[in-house]
Amino acid sequence: MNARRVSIAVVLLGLVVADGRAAPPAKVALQGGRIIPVEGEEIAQGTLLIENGKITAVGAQVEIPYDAMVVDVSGKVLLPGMISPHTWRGLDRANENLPVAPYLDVYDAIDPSSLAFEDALRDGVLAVHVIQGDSCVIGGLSRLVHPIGRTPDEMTIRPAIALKLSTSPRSGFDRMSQMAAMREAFFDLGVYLEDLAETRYEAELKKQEKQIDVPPEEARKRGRELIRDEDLDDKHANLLRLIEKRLDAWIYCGAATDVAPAIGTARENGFLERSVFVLGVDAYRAVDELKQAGRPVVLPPELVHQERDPITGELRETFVPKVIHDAGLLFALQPDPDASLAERYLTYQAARCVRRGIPREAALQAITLNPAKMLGVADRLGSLQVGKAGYVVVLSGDPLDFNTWVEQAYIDGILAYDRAKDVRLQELLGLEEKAKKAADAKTAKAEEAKKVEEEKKEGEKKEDEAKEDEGKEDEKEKDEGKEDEKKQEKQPELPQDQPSPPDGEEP
Amino acid sequence: MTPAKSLILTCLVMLAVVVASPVAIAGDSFALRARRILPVSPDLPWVIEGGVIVVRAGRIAAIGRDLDLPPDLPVVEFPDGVVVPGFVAAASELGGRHRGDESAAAGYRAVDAFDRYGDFAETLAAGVTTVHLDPGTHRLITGQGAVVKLGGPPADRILRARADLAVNLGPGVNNPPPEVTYPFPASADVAITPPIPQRPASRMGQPLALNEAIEAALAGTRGDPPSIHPPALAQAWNDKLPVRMRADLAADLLAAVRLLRDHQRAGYLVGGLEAHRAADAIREAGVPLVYRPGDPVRALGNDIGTDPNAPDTSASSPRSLQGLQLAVASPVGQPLADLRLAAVRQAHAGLGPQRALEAITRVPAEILGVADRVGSLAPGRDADFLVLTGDPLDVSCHVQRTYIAGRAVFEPPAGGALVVKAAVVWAGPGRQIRDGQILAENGKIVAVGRSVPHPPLARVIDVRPGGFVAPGLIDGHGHLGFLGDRTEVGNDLRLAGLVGVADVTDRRLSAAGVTTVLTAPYRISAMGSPCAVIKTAGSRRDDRVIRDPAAVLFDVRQTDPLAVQETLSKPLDAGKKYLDAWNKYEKDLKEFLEKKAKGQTPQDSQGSKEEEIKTPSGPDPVTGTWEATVSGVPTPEPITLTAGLQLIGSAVEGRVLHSSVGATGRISGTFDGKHLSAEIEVDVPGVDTPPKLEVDLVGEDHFQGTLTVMGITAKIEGRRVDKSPVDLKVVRTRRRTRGKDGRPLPPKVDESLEPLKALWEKKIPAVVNVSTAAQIREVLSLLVEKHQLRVTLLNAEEASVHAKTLAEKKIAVIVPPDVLRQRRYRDYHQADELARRGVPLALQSNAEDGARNLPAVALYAVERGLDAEAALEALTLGAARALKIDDRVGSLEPGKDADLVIFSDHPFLGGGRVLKTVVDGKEVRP
Repeated sequence: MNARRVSIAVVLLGLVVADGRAAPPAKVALQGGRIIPVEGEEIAQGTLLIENGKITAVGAQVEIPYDAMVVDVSGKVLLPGMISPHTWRGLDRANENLPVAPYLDVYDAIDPSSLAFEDALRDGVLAVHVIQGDSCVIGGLSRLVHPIGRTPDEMTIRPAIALKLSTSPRSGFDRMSQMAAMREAFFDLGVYLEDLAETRYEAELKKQEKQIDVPPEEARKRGRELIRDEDLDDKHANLLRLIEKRLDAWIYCGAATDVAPAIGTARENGFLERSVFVLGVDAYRAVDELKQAGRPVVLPPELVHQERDPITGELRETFVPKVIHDAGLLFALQPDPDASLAERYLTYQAARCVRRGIPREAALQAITLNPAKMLGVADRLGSLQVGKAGYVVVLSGDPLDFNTWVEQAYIDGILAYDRAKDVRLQELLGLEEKAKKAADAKTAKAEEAKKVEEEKKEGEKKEDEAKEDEGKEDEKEKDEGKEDEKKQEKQPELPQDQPSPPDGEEP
Repeated sequence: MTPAKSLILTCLVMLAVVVASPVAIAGDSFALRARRILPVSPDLPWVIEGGVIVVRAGRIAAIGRDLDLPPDLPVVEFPDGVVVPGFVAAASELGGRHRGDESAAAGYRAVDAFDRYGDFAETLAAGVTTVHLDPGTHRLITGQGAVVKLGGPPADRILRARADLAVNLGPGVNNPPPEVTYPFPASADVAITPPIPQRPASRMGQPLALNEAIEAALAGTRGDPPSIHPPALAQAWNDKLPVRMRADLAADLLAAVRLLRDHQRAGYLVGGLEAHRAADAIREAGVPLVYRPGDPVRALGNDIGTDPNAPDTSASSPRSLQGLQLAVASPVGQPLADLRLAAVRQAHAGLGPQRALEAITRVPAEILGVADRVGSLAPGRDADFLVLTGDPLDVSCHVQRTYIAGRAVFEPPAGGALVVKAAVVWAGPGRQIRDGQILAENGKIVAVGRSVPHPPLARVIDVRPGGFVAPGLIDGHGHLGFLGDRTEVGNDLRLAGLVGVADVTDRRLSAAGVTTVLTAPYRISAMGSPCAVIKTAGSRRDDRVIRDPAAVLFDVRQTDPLAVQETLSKPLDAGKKYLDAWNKYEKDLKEFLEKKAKGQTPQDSQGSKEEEIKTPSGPDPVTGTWEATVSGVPTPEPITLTAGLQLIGSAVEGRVLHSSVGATGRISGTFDGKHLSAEIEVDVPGVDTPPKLEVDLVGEDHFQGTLTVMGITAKIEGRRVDKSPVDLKVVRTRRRTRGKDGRPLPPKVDESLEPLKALWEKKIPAVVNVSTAAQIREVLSLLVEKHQLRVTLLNAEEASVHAKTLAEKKIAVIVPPDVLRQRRYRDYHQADELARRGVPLALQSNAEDGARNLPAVALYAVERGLDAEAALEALTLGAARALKIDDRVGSLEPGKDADLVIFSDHPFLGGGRVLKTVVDGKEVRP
């Protein structure tokens, strides 16, 4: 764990934030900020201590170890790293053209340099569940990653989280074909396992130098327990893990009518208690069925469902999270990476929920703790509690305020993002400033040229000019001095480069 | 039976009832009474007139004619509705078709394709509540069908998830594409198999392929790679699912019958375009048929051509199908909503109405194996039924409401089209239609006659065999909305502000049949008062106001006849002057625009330079210093004030120099020689509208009048103490008369003169409250003879003196409600007398919600001799004409508002009471 963390080399925004060879600071204390732990009471002004990547103390009064790197975050807000619960971003394409392909794994396709990860980091999303798209019958394995690292391995928080299933017709399919293919996949697995069990039983008897002594049905039954993981072929291994409840199923239900088949498929094959339902925009209408199943749901990025009466043409709007929240279901919000509007920010999605009557705490949990629970990492992520991993976002203000931005982000206690050093962002924000500077330079040049001409014309006032030049030089010197001061001030802002040595231990 | 036994039996029966009916859900339990019920159940009579259906928890608990209505249930009344079971479509394309290539694929389930959350309003509007879903008809075995409902809670919509095994015979299933298996994993060990051709290729191959598939499935084949289809076929076969044989051509139908017989399977035929050619074989085998007629009414022109073998899709006459268990479905590819039309066409073609209705209700339910739930109305069945506007096989009938499991799942939208049918439609005086109908759309009457269009989704009110429909009644003069407020109202006020959403008071009127009222102030100003014509129903002000101002009211009742003309002339002249200003402006503007269009430069507007204001040198009645006292204000002591005034032409300028409350301000106004009207601009916080001064010069150096501050009117009296002009430093700029480009500028809009302007423009009438013959004479001479304005007389107790003139000039009289007068010690009725002499009449309540008694007022008039027709006319068109609103209301004619009252009979002759009131095409719920 520690070794892995140490090995993490963060190449970020073209800026080396953490040097691969230098160890990250063992202890970081984020001091003086407002802490929103998501679980438990908010702390108006407190300190969060991360030791060796783990949160070891949260509170208003925290004793800071003498060797901890102290970061002053007063006036800022600390929030657990947000979690994007369901996205194919980070892959090149959402889907493979095989309807049933449980042997695929997003591991083979995650692109660490994808801008999606950079955006996630900038938006405070510190864990991304990368999963195949919705156009499949049974898709491949998914993976939970954090948005930093040079390889998928370095990024991984948890591999093989779930298999993707869909009961909504994939492209080129209709609902009958979709469900027939789904049934066929599990039927095929059953046939395969029966045959394999028989073979295994035979092989086992052969080892004991016995002849097969029972009818095939009995042999299959007995051989079932003899099947080892290594006996399975790639095509069936993950499906077997699924029905043996060793994997989660994330089942996409694009429409309300797809919910019952999804629950039915999960129940018939015994993995309902390991299922998460990913809902399309009108699937909330099956809320009664979802409530009965009692499993977590991931809501669509579009939170408002509109429907038109076919006869009167009347438009009705439903705010989906409210329906789901009122039903008492565990739910997570998704950002919409394609939206040019604010839907691409999880905080905005949560703020909309609050505006429509969902308690603030529930809305914040829907972007942090709830997805962590669904992904089985609630022991490590999702809230700022002692014992959890140091995934912390430092915000400039309240998370649900749209004027708030991400100042810093810590992943496993390592400063993974700093707005001040976000090259792309600074570039974007600095354009105006640059243009102004360029314009200023131009006018200055022109004025100088004018002056030169004047000098030529008026050669009489040489003495006065000489005096002015002296004055200018003095000013220049003063400016240089100021810059030096600034540099000195800035240095402590790069603690990850040069951990400030403990007092009195000057080398 | 001993008492003990009978007690036990009773208990058992009660227990059974308790057990059978689960907890009643609100809305799912009710009793429905309709004009007629067609239960389509073999155990019940074909027609139950005036029947009742009792629904408990979504199921029919009882049905019959003389049922006691259960006291615990709400009763839904459809006095003009016909109830039939919800239609059952035994074939549809609702499930679409699966896209698989397998020729024999029993594993596909049509139920997977059904959107249980779908909104099928358009189909429910056509009365189809239960539908069979096909997995497709493009392969030999396409899968398993399902039977579903189109409404109700999604979890309850599926009646049978695996209803049948879908087998299709015919040329369409030949030559399926070869089956390709992609190897996995693609390695050297796994051979790539060539595509395997599939059967059938011809009609001969169809039974072969079918038998092969069944045998292979029953032998336990799992396929390689394993496929769900053989096990699914085996399961369907072992579960003895009915075999749904789809065939159209005679040879295929024969083959289907043979296959069913050979395999000894229960099943039925679907399609049957050429069933008449195989009718004997089908009848002999006793196989039911779901007949899908081939001539889609939506796509005519399917020419057969010269091919002798081409099937004649319209040939299967129902006569040849006698003796079959026959269900009718909508034509292939046509919407489910056409189901009833398909049955109507079969009924016309010879099937007869009874069998045609059975063919879309009970019979398909039996064939699909859901007859214990739907398809007929009997105790224990699901409460799936329709309320129709007429006989189900009458083409023009529509669904009024669709119920599924006792829940209304479709109702025509409110505010749509409305058809009213009644024994008598009284469209207007002398226009009485027996057995008439009225169509209203978008709040307006579209058609009136013996027969009118019945657009889809129209609501129908059918009160036949009785019923008397008249235009909504009109109160010629009342005070609705004033709530007893007797403040004098000036012409600048718009009474539409009194109106909001129709409230309980308004509903009292509409329930009495009064749909329109003229509302007028109790006290009328000397300058005339406005009044408005409003409706007594409606949810928006704009919908409720017919006209505002609707007339200018004058009151000369207390005026000396000799002063009548003078009294009326003052407001009229002001109005005329105002109108002239506007007319001049319009003329100037027209000239300007014409000139501009011709490219001429308009006259230089700056040419008329502002004139110097000349202060008149001599003394005048206004100029000087005035001391005044304001009394009747809510201050402890009267306010005293000193003001300096100056008369410049007809304009008055001045200052409040001093006042006991401390406020000072600028006075500006006009003086017409006697009357001074001015506004005082005061700089007092809270006083947003400047106080208004209206005073008359009552003597030399003495005025009296009113001062209105913040809505409070107080008396003011003043005397001039000094006649020398006060130096006010008045700077008056002449109002510009032309804009920058020389365009004439419009005169200032004066709200208080707008109604008078409309009066002069003859857009609205003057309603003059008069009493004596002399007053009437003066009014007629000034308003009618001199100015030729539109006039209606209010009250006019002595109108009969001028009856001839009134009748000639068609000047209406709104007779007072206390109609009985005495002359020479004998009672006479004014309305009767005027009506006989041809004077147009209107009636009035002179009350607020007292207008609900207006029909009684008319009834009394009839009792005193007034012709009943004339009474009805006075309440409708007469009043509308008197108020000049007969372009909107007053009679039932296309283009007018759909405001009507449905009486049970003639209100005055037959003693009819109000059954329903319709305003703007919407039934008003009391």
